[in-house]
Amino acid sequence: MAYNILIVDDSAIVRKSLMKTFGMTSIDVGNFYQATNGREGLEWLDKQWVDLVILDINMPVMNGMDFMKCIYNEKKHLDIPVVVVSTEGSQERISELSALGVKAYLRKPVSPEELATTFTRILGA
Amino acid sequence: MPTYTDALSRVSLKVLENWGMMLVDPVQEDSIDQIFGDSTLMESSVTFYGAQSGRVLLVAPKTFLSQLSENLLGDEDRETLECSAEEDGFKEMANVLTGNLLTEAFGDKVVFDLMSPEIAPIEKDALSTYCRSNQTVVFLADDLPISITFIISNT
Repeated sequence: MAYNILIVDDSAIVRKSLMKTFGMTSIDVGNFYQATNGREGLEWLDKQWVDLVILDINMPVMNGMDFMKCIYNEKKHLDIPVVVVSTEGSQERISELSALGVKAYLRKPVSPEELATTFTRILGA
Repeated sequence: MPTYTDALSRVSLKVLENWGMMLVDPVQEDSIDQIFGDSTLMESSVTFYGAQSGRVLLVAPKTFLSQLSENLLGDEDRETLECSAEEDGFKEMANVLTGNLLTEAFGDKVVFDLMSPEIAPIEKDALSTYCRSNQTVVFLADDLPISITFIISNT
């Protein structure tokens, strides 16, 4: 089964390098969708089937925290898991994200092994 | 005020090697002026607030930015990105380095807010000022110079 993945990050180079990192794993990716902020991310979720969201925290327009506060307001999005990939490392921030429904937190830089393990744990792929 | 030079060195090495995929060598203090030469220099910085406030500044020649984006993406992908990709990579390096450095220096119980990274050209005189600070480390990464400075402006 091929999975559709939405990457929400304001840095084009990060989005590209995350796609490259996925390419180094055995994860079968159908389509990558890219958004430069949380608002664009929510727009993608309204128009495409997405199996997993990879989310940054610090972004302009709508940051990752605000994205998390909005995504599960829509019933149809309740089953979409979100993995945060960010630079921040404080336990308090990570707990805050978990409380908002984030399934996993990965610290940049992310290795293919970390990505594959997290993906398998969440989607059982 | 405590210094964080060891933490700065460790994190800088880790980010340059693991994230930037670069081969890193230390630089002798007396050769810093020489290795930067007359290249056009760029500064990428991230300001942070929280239990402590301050900035992390990276200074490197433009050739470093090209090398970094090539390492991150490869030549083929680099061509499909806009010309700002090189600056984007250098900004993201400042972002990754700052996040990791703050945890290394202050632990994971402290929350910081990081501002978006900024990038701008910089004069060599400003670099010399940073290099005189005891919270600056300088490396050769893929044979290209980079200086990394940790400034705590305090609360």
